Amino acid sequence: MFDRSTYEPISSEVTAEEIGDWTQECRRQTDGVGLRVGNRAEFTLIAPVIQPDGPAIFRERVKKAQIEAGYWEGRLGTVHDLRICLINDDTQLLFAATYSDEFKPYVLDVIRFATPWIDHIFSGVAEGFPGLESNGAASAYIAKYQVESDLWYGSPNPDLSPRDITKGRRVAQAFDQLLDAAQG
Amino acid sequence: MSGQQARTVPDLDFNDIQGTLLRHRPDVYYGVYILFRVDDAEVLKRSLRTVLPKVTTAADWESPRPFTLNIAFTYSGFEALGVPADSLASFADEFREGMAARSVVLGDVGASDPKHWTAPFGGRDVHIGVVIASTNADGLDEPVSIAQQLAGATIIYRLDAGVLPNRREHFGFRDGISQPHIIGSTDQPRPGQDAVMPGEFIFGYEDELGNVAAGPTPEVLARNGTYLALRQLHEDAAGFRRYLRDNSRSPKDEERIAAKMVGRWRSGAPLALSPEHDDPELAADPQRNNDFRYYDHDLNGLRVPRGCHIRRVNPRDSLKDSIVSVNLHRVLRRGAAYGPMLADGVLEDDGAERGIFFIFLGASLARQFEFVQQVWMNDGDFVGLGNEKDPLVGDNNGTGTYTIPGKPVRRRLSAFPRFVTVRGGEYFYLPGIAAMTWLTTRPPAIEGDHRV
Repeated sequence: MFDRSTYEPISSEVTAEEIGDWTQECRRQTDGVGLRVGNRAEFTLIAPVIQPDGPAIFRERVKKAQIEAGYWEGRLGTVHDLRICLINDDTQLLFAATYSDEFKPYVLDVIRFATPWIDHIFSGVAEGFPGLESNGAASAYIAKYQVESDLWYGSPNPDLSPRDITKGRRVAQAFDQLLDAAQG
Repeated sequence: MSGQQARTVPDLDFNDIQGTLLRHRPDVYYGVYILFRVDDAEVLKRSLRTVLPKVTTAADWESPRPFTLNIAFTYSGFEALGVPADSLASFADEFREGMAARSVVLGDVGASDPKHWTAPFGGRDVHIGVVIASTNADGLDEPVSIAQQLAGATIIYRLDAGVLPNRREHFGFRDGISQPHIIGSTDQPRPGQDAVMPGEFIFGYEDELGNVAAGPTPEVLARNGTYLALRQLHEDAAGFRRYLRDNSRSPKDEERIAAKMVGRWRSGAPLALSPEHDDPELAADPQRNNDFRYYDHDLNGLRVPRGCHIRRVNPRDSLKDSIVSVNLHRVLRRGAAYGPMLADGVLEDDGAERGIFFIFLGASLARQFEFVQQVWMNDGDFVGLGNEKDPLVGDNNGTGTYTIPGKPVRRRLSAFPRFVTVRGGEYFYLPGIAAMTWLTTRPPAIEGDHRV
């Protein structure tokens, strides 16, 4: 797709060489919807909201969901970031995440683990949401409302998983301590 | 979650379940695998009806004839037999697509790419597979002649397999030691063998999620059936020997590296129980040779590297801190070596075709066989190993690494070559006996009906 020798950058201030140094090759997930760069992928879902009560229920539920987000998403071990918001005059819910690794193989494990948190946010809010426990129906619901991003940037280090980043920081800290000790 | 709380032991219908599903092959074995293309569905169905009484059930396995014979069908096989459209549509997507179409998920790329597969693999011509096993070579004649009674079909592939003189596979390891224990089977679980609900492997029973999984419809087709992935895997025995020699400091070190790649010494003795040297007595003792876990004593893999073969295909309790439930991703494995042994000490390939003919069984190809291939064998992220792959059977291409944890520092092998190349494979469905009877008594398909 991108070819340094023929590419004409959007801005005339930037050369094709510079673009080439930064560009990332984007592809689809191995088996499903969602863009992927390196080992990192995006998950975007836009679902209709139950009217008229859905938005108020959501705003109430989201308080605890925010407090517990670190637990439920952090323990998954693969999620980098996640945002959930009401959009289009509260008629739709946007759920957008960045995660490492594949999505499809892990669906069942994720569902098994995160059902209470996800159901807390979606039940009574998202129209037609069957609850994650109903495995087949939940997959169909996701398939119906998942959208693929048209553009996606996967960070400067798309191959690093959240665990890799945690480990890298631990190693850097240990190395600093070693240097401090050597100089002390 | 798994195996901890008391669960109701289900009554398995041994008379209806095909034998190979509940029993693994004996240590000394001979096997024949025959693939058929259906040419005339009605003739085939009539002949299949006469063959059905000879199919080995799990009940027959208790009082075996000198052989076992089992029959499985591909999606295109079901199409050829005129299975109705709504029934065809009820099979899992990956089964309908076929193994070749799943190549990227499975890591069947490079030399293992389906475009290099041996015919008839990867096309739509493989319709029926017959799996025959016997404890002696003479015992194969009768089942092979039974298989040849299938009329209206052409034999398009045959592979003969059998125990090697040293009773090991071509890389020199004793294999087939560890299998999940199916709750409700007549086997006694051995120490270290994890108990898994039968619904993980057989339709019609409760699985690890507490559900009875939706198999294909109608129900008669699902009950006591399962999916089967068949793979012919070429083993580069000479390449494996060369790599060990080139990357070790001594013959003793060679054996150590080999063991660190697999997780067991060549005898089958587990590194977890004998980390410093081989122990043939331990290997030969079924009460001890599989009785180990990782979490409490070897979380970091100092004994058994987290990336080694056996810890990938069955991480046991080492993923306890993650959200992954290992029991949702177990497979039953039935492997058989084929081809001549490479002579001792030979380091150059002799050109002979040799390897393992593998069968994986389970109720979900996607979350069992494909998951293990994609997430555990051909990736390293699940244990923080980046993109390292299974050192023995992974889709390596000569650029990867393999990390052997150690104190004070790890050892890292590089330029990891491919030792196993996929020669071909197919997804099958292994129905129960009643399901096959149903298949043979279906009225003739209206021309074109199954393509709706």
